[in-house]
Amino acid sequence: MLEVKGLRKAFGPLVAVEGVSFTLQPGDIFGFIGSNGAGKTTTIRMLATLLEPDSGSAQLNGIDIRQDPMAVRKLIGYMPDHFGLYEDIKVWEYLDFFAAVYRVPKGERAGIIENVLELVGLTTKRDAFASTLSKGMQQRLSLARCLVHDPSLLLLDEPASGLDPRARAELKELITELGAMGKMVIVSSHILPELADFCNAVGIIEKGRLITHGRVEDVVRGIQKNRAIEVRMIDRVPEAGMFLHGKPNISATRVIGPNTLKVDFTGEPNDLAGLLKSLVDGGYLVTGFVEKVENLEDVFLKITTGAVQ
Amino acid sequence: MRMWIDLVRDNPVIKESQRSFWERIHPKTWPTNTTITIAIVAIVYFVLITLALQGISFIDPSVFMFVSLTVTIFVSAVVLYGTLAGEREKRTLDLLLVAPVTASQIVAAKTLKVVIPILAIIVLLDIPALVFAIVRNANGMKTMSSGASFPIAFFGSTVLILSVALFVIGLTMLVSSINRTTAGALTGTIAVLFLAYIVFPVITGVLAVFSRPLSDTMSSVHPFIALFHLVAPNPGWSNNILIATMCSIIHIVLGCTFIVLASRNVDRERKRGIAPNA
Repeated sequence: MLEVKGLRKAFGPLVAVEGVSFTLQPGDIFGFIGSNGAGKTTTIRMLATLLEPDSGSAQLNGIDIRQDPMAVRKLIGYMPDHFGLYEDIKVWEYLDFFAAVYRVPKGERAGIIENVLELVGLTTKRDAFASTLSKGMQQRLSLARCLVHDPSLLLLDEPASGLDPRARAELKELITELGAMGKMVIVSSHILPELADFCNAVGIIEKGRLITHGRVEDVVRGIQKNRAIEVRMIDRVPEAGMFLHGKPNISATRVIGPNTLKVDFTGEPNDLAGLLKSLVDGGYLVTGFVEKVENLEDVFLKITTGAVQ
Repeated sequence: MRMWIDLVRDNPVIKESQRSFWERIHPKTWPTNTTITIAIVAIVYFVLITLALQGISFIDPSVFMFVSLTVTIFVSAVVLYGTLAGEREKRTLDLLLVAPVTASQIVAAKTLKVVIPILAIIVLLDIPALVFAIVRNANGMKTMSSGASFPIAFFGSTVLILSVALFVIGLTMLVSSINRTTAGALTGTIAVLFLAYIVFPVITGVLAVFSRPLSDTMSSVHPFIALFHLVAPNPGWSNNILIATMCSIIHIVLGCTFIVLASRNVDRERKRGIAPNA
């Protein structure tokens, strides 16, 4: 379990992270969302023990990152937003070195390397030089490096940046699989659709502050106070807007197309049926009645201002 | 200790440099600048040895010790200047800093990279010096002897060379630990070595105008002067072994201090970091 409480980090007058708190359970895949410069990387680097927080705490499986960083490092797999490349080194040598650094017994290394290569789909590249791999393969190799010591927490900083759609889809699958294996994964990105698909929890950070966090559905629901209903009808759209105005659970109506009316609705699902019935009973020729569910991107754009530090 | 061995044995930086070196000297790639340089050095080396064996007077066994000292300084700096700065430049240092290894283990492992080249220098240059000095002593030559204490002179000069190597290693690692690029580390290393071994003796020479004893004391810290005291002393000089010993001790203390400071720099970087967008 990861418990982060009030993390703060300033670089001189620049407060990069202020009061970031959240909790993760095994198997959680936490999408860390924010614009460039919002404080994602600084937070991740603090959790990776690469930066000492000015204040606040973070405990991984009961071990405090500030009090015993060396013990925490054994439990963390950190993938930076850049692939640190040793040019003249083979894939297996790269993994073997890091397995040694993480004190994996020599006798177990070969088997572990085979396993992680299979997991990330690089078995055929075992003897290839790291510098000859494509960007997507290098990212997967970097992820394999994070896994050689079987960490509890994976910190992936912008893992999908610069990848083509196929490589991005493969990476998503891989991260989902790691979550299913019971690992906690924190994955940062500013490309929201790529996170929405596989994260079960998200945190949105802006100007160093975590604006909101929690289960994806809860975050979306928390932001989306009104249900947005799109009603399509054959004609009389403005008239239908006037008709609904002032009725219970209707906060606003707006004509958004020649045949489409948008209704901001505050009622429960049962009340939706009453709304449709009242339109039909009113003689309006309804051809479509759809609740438009907001996605993570809508939520992000709604609650952030785009300001950076 | 086992950790250090692993860090050295499996170190990608060492593997890279080994592989790169073997590629440059592999027969398939001949001729390369490296092979041509090695060939020239080897020819000069064997000509010197042959001349020494022939008893040519200007080829003195002590020449090997001076060459050994010069090459040690050069090789230590060249091999190590990019170790930390290079990892920082390639952005691979983070991967080590996030691992459960201490900063001192990282620095020590990188430092050990230069051990094999230095041992090679000593084998190639100091051992022939020893052999020829023994031969010459047997023939009545006392050049590399400091009077009757030839074995001490040889042992002392080897210790002196190793202590200077430690000093250069520490200095280079310290410069590398504070630079963000290999180019910066190279410039810094050259500048510092230039100050230590070229500018400093000039200053001591100027000081001689005002105070001869102070100038002599300061100049004896210079390894080449200390080596002269040891292997080819002027009849008017005294305290030759003491001067060489002091020079060695100063270089060892400074070298160790620099290595500790380099470790602290790495540790500080781990704790303080830099602003991500800086």
